Amino acid sequence: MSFLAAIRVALDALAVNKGRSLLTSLGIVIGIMAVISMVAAGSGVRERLDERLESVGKNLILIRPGGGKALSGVPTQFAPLTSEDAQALRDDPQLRRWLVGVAESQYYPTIVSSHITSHRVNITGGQPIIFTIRNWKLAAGRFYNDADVQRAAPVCLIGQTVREKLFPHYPNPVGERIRAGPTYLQIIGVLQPKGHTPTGDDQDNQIFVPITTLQEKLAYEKRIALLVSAARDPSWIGRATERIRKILRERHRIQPGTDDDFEVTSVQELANLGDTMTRYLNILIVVIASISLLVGGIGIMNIMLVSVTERTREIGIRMAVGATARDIRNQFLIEAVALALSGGLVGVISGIVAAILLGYFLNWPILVSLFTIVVAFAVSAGVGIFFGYYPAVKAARLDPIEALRYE
Amino acid sequence: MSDSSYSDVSNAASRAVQPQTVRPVIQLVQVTKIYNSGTVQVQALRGIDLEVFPGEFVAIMGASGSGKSTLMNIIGCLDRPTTGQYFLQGKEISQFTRDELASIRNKSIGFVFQNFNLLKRYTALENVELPLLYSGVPKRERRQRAEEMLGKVGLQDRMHHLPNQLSGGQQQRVAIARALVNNPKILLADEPTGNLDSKSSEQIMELLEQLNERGQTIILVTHEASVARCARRKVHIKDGRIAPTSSYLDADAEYPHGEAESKEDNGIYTPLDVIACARH
Repeated sequence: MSFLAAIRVALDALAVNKGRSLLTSLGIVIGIMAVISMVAAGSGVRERLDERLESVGKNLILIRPGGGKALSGVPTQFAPLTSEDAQALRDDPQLRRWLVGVAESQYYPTIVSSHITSHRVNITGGQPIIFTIRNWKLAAGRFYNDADVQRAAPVCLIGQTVREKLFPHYPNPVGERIRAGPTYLQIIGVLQPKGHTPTGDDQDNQIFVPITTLQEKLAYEKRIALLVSAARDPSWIGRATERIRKILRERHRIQPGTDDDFEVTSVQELANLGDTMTRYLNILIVVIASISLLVGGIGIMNIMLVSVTERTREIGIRMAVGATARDIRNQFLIEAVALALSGGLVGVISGIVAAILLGYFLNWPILVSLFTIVVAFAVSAGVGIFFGYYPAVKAARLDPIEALRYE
Repeated sequence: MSDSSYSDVSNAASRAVQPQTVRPVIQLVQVTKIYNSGTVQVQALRGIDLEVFPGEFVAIMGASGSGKSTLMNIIGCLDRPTTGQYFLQGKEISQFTRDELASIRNKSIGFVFQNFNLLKRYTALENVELPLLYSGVPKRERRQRAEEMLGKVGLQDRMHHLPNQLSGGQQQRVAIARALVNNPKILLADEPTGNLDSKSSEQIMELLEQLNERGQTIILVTHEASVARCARRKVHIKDGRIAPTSSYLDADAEYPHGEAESKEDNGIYTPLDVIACARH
């Protein structure tokens, strides 16, 4: 019998028991649905994480005061970071080669007002190099420069979120003034949007001022929150991190065997963490999928065995008119595969729908890859063949005489 | 040299014994069948010698348990003899594999069963197409041949009916069309009228006779003498052997209306006894 004819015969048989066929493939449906939706949600999240890591800067190295984290997460050692520390890192010839630059930054959360409205925002004080390190781009105006830092100029750059809040109808508010407490700041530049950080902070909800302006005219204190740096090449991140630790330990006179009183982290570590989590998530998905496909497969085997018994007479008739064992085996095998594949199809469709709903309600990005769908179908077919084989062989081994006599 | 000439002579001699020069379609030589059911051995056939020639209409008769079903299964290539030889068109097939036998059933043998054995989900036409499906005949040709065959059994206007929309007689005619669609050498009918009323039975037997007159070799398995009457030759099976009451080749002249039949019938005469066989 030709393959096409065999497929027709098998599909005819399935069409007779539509409801039963559907129920039988439910296990496969659920398994495939779970895989498709979880992979879609997982890779969507991963994609967003990557995007945000990218926007933060993958080569970024952050140095915070406080180190030697105990289990509680509270630093056991603490010493403030100073501009002198930053300068020492800047002066190191090796770091100079590996790093784009080092910028101390200090934050001051406050309420800022335009002539229209006011808005709660984080003011970041830093060195001009911070724009290079963080790869900020201008939408309008200019960055502040060393001269502005030296004279603590009352100038600022605003992120897109701040612009939308404070100047809803001004695409370009360069030259306008905003007020933070008693201090007026003149807008000299507007930054292009960057989006959210991996931890969910809106990077565009920031105002950048020279660090001296922040320390002398806004916060009235010197407390460096962070030294920000970036490697010129990802392969230098590890070496640069070690070098930074060495220099700072020397400067802070930390005895060997004592914990750091600062913390050097890189975004790359965060990215690695993301990789690890994605890997675990994938293992979890594979485990869940395997279990539900096993259950689905057993369901198919079960219904195929029932079908073989129910249709013993039919098998006998087919054998009497010349069907070979192979014809019979193929007929039932194709039925099992068709069952599994239709389950796979329904599973893929409902998985995509579930992923979209999930993405909609959790505000997650969704990424359905063609590869996942192809794999889902291949696996469904595999399940059909694997679990359909035994019933099919059982049908093919029937004795035609016995089968014809079966009531 | 001398050996071969000798054997030629002997072959010629043995052929001369045969009333016909045609070769038999079916030749069984000392066929036995033993069933092993657990520890008990059942000898269903104890050495059957049988020849059926092209164009014959043979009835195989016997009570239940006589071995006639076993014989039919072996002739129909549904089963293999334990010992002995089975020549189908001169080919020894007793040791064929299951798949080879399937191919023979497909091309050389057409089955007609007591309970029709049509596929319920398939229309008459699709049922008739079934053997062609397994010989790999392309769809268009399949359809055309099946339609033609249904026309021959008088069901041209019932082709798209499902079996349960047809009367018993019509269903059996579909079955006959299915049996014949692949031009088999032998039509093997197992109690073809067993589930039919007398009128339908008569029509089916008439149809079989017509087919036989057109040259179709038919082997009919039955326990009813009235049905067997239409056959030109009767083979009685008793205890796994061919009973001496059987009639032989070219039995027309000495058609035994007497002793053998009445013994089998147990005196029960059904309305089928009135079936008029066209030949007689």
